[in-house]
Amino acid sequence: MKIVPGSTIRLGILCVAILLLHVVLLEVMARTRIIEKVMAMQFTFPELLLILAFLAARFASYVLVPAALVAFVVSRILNVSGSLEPK
Amino acid sequence: MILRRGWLGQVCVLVAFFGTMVFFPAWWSGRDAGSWYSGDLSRQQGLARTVAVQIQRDLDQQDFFTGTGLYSGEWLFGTYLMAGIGFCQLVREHPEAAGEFTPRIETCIQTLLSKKVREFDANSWHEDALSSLPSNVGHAAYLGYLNLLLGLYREIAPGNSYVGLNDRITEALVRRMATAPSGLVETYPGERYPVDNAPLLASIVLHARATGRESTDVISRLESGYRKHSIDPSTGLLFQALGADGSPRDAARGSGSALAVFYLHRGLPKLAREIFEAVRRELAVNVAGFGAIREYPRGQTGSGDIDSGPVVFGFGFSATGFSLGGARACNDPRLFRRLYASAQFAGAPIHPDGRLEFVTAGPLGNAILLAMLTAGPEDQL
Repeated sequence: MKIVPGSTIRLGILCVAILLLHVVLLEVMARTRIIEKVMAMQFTFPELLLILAFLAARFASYVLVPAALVAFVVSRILNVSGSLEPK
Repeated sequence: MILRRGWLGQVCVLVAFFGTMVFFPAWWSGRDAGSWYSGDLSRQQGLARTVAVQIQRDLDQQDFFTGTGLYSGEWLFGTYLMAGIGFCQLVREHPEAAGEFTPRIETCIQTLLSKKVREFDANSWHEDALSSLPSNVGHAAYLGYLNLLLGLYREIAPGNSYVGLNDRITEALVRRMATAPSGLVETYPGERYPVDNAPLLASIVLHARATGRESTDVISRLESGYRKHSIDPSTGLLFQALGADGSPRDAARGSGSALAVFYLHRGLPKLAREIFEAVRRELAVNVAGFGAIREYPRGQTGSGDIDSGPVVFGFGFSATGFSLGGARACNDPRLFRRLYASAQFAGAPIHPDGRLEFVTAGPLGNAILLAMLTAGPEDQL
């Protein structure tokens, strides 16, 4: 994980993309009410994939996005500019 | 400065990254749990108004996606039942909201009494539950759940127009439970479920309380019969199904046990607490601040069904949701917070028009969450 200006942009784009995907899948879940089919054990394989995609997007927006933003802010505060990857 | 470009600065960044990953999601998801637990009226009203909007849409079986007429009928019944129970609990905790929600309770009861809702039970029994009250034949699900709602409504509106029906159903249920060899009334022909008999038993106690006959021997006998056959002595959980002779036909499971705690807490708080303690001891799991309830006790495995929903890594969707009610009813704020974090994460609440709606839950899920989040608390008894 490199904390450099180029990666800052990529990080921002990634976070926005995850949040947008989350919102879109949330809307899909609300309209299709797939969770009811899951609870009734009546889902198809594509519906299962959609559920998993929704949970993954929600997980990413709750876990990865905040963690990345906090790590970014801490790195700016401490002015850490080196690579975190092994050389 | 030593942190700049040094390994210590990079360690700080890593700690911040992984620390946020571990602690932030559960904290963020559970941030509203405290106000729910303390009975915040605005939150309860927000969700109750969403449920009110959903039940006003004149739902029928085609609004549910269970794949069978019986289960869709059960879910239609469950939606109005849980909505009605939730409204009753809200009004009991906040009498100032009676004006808004008492008409909703009446709507729920009227719909539960309608032919389209009674159909699922009538088709299974080939007779109507309310027309056959003088007989000794089953109908545990329809009559037991309906009678619990009538009993809860009677608590907050003693002079309501369904008091006579509450009396007649209770008389029939007492007779049926007392004469059943297994101590349980059949839900459908040949099918006996302890969880379906929990609201039935609780409704009998509520009726006795309302009529000043709570300390009768009849209730003690019914409760001891229920305990004897329904509770697994090794775990303290409820068996999911019993045979005609009262022997177990399915394992002791989380979904039935957690739901029974919710139904029993108003009428039989001591029994509810005992089962809740078993649920907490045998099934509760904490995953990075998120609460989950196993469907089967530790060391046992099994698949999911229409009662439990999917069982993923041993955790039951229904058991986890139903345990929210038990945690509030039995005064366990820590478990409540963890379970609420899970419900918030999976349910994705939004706030349309000042209301509160769990987006993924649908009409039944929102009604269940209203009932669970307004359950208890025990010390109000």
